[in-house]
Amino acid sequence: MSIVAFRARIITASLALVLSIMTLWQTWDLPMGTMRAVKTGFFPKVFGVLLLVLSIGMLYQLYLARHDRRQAAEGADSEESVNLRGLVGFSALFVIFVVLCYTAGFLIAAVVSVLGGGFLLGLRKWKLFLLAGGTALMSWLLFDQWLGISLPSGMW
Amino acid sequence: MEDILLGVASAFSWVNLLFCLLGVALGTIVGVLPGLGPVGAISMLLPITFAMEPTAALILIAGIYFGGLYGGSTTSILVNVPGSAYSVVATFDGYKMTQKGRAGAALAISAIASFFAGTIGIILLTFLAPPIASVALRFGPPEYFAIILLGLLVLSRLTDSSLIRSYMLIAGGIVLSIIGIDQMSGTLRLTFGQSWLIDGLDFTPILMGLYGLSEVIIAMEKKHQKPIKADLSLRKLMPSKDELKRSTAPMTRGSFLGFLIGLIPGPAMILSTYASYAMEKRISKHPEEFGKGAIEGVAGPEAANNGASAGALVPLLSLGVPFSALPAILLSAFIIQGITPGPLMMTENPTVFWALITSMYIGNIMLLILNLPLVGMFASIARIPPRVLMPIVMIFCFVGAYSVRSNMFDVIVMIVFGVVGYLFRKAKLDPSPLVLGIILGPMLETSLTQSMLIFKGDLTMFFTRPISGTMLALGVIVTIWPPIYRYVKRKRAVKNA
Amino acid sequence: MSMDRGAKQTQTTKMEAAMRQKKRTTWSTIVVFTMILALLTACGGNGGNATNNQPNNTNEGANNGNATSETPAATETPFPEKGIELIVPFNAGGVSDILARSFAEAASEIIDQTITIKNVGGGSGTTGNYELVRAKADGYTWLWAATGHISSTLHITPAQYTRDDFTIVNKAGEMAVVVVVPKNSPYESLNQLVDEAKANPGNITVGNPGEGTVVALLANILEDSQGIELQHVPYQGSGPLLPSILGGHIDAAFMNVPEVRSQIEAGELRALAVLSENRVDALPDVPTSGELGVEGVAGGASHFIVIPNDVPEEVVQKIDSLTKEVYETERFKQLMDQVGYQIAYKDSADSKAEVDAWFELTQGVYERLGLLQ
Repeated sequence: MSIVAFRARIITASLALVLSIMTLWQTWDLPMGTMRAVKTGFFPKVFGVLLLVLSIGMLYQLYLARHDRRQAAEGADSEESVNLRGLVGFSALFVIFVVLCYTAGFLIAAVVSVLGGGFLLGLRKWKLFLLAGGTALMSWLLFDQWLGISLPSGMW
Repeated sequence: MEDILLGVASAFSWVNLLFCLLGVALGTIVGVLPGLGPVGAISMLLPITFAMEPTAALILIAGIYFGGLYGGSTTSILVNVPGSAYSVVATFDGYKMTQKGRAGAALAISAIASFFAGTIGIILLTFLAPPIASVALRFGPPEYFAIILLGLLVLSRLTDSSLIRSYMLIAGGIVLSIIGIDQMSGTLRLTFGQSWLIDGLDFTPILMGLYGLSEVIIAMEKKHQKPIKADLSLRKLMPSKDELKRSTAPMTRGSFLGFLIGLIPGPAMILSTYASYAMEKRISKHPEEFGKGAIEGVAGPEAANNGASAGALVPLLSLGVPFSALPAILLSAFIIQGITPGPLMMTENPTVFWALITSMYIGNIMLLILNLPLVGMFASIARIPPRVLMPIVMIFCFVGAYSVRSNMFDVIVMIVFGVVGYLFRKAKLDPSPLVLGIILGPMLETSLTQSMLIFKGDLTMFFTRPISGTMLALGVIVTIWPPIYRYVKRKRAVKNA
Repeated sequence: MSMDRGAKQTQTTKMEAAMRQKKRTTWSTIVVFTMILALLTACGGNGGNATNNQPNNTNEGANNGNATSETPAATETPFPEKGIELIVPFNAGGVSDILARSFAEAASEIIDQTITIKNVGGGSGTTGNYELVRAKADGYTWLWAATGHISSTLHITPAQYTRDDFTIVNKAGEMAVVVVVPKNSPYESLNQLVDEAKANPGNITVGNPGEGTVVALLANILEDSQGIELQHVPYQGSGPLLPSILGGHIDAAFMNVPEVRSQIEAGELRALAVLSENRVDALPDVPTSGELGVEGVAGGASHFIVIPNDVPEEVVQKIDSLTKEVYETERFKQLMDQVGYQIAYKDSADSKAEVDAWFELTQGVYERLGLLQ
């Protein structure tokens, strides 16, 4: 498999491992109960242990296969590489949306996010602004007015 | 007999037909929007139905119900973003079809399959409701446990044959579902003392993050690809003869399978789509096509989730017991209108009962009539370049996630899982086992606890009860079989070498 | 030479065609967009009215722009002047939800404004209750409260509020708890059940709609008073409990009358007794626990209209009188009769007394069960 996939799998298995350890740590003191009356600690511990074993298993599997890694072929499937600009850019954009929602309200957050998103993807000038304004307006109309879901309005 | 005729006739009045159309249209729109679904739509429109007379109100709601189911798969097929949990499977092959330029065919088959399954489901409902309902009652907590366990074991290996990876993701999903208050004892688990974790994680934002937001991030890598060329001439829009032929059997199987699964409480619609996909892949003569645009992979699951929604109505109408959120809201609509569904419904309110059944048929047909012509318009959405489409999808995902519990926290969860979803894509891992784990985790635990209480601690009773025993045995066989088979094959190969 | 020019020409035409195609796609996108916008603005006017008439205070610290508080006039309080939001702290489809929606429907005759139901489920009702506590004290946000989350549930569920954080306007009615068994069960009477439980403690499986519910508490009170031990099987609400008892997977179940009334009438379930002081109108043939010699086991969930603290006194009075009128309408009576709910008005003081008494009573039960938080 490609190096990217390999690394991504390592990250996934590690995350699972961390999750399992946190679970076992947090639920250590919960009662297991009896066969008759299974109590609240049973499930978390059982599946915490299961997750622990399986994530270690996956890491081991990856360790065994470490020599099968190969570089992505030239011009191959774009999924074989990580577009850092996209990942970081959009992640930052998502965070900005949340922060703006809390402070300035949904409309502004939406406009800014679409501006950012469209820009990252290559949209420019008047089309960009039209998209941003249009989307924000349309979603406000659709969700807030018509469907009655009240959207955050920040400080207003 | 006159009651039946009266009921049927009343459904055909102009006003009612109009309401049916309106309902289906509304339902489709709402279903298309990520995060929203028929449940939300119906509960929002419920107050309006108070002013309407019973038959019209029920017809409107039935229309929304069916429309919503169809709408969810539209976004799955066109942009790889599922509108709801039961639309996830449609992304597997539906989106691949769009990429090959067959978006119209996929959408059309989806509508046709929905119609087909809906019709079969309603027929089964009309004539077989009481006996089927009594079969459904034979399922108690032990049976639910067995089915969920079986489901998790079987369905998780749909797209990835590695035991360790799939089960690890299931376990991960189950662990995540534990976060929050334990219903049985009131204890807080895995909340790290944070108040916003008390109600746990809702799976809808997680789903939208894993599939929707990750798609948005991935768009950066696709922006230099040519936009999808979908041929919009009418002939090319509709499914070809071959595609139709290949879809017939999956649709039939999906309808019945979905109907059966719908009889069981809980997330029947989601389960039915996965089950149908698994079945079709196993039965197919060319299983390698699945995941690359096999039309059976769209037809089967689409039929299954409509079948399941019809099946879910059986306990509601014949017993008055709703088995999941969607029938539950129908129940409150009925009661407000003065109708108590249940064993007495057919005797006390026959006219309304038959009008309802008839309107479901009509709603189903209306769905087809409304959506087939729109396939062209929908398909052209796929031609919108991602730099325009993705920001819109992004905003819709934000609002969809927020609307689940009117809570910004869900949006944050969605974002986190958006990054996780991106990670999974890079790792070439399918998030389905994780999703199944999160959705089915709570029910697994509840049914286990209840079963142990009912059995008073005696584990063997799982196997002495016919239904649960069979299913558990099946689960064991299905899990043990592949590794043993491989081992035996290897041994034989070594011997022959 | 000519070949080249020909090829180049074809190339240019192709490029031009591609650019035209691109332009067409862009314009068609814009056109579609504008059409949708226009459609929505048109619909927005209509649809918006029915569902979005009042302020929603769902965000911590956020405040919607259209909330205006009422300054009551000198004599006649002009209330209500805009739509009212009724929070239902349970999911749609449950018994409390159905009752609330019936109330809203009947109220349309008396109250000119629309009452919009908002389901906020979770935490056995405490999540929705907390939302009410945080709502604006202008009298336009009400809570359809059940006994549990405004009293006994607070013993066992960590909630963000206390009993002093809200005001009870009045009581609408109550549901009695009934003990049911499947139609082919060997138990013909409550006494039989109790005797069997004495002979074989912990043998009889009894379902309840949740550990913290009023219904489950009554089951515990029954145990205490008769000195028996039952095997409790908790379910996530009465929804999953009903098919289990109908299918005979458990020996008996404690449920609310409205939930099983139609089943009992159809003969699918047998009611052994109602756990209340008087016979229930909806089930006139079922004896009370007291009649059968089982003393001291009576109670059930009641429903109340609850508002945030610090709402102006005149508004509170108006809410009280308006809702009281609704309880007395024919439509409300008809709807309640259909589900088997007992209308029983109590004013603010009496309601508070009832709730406080229940709180005290259940404290002892939970202590014994070791469930106190």
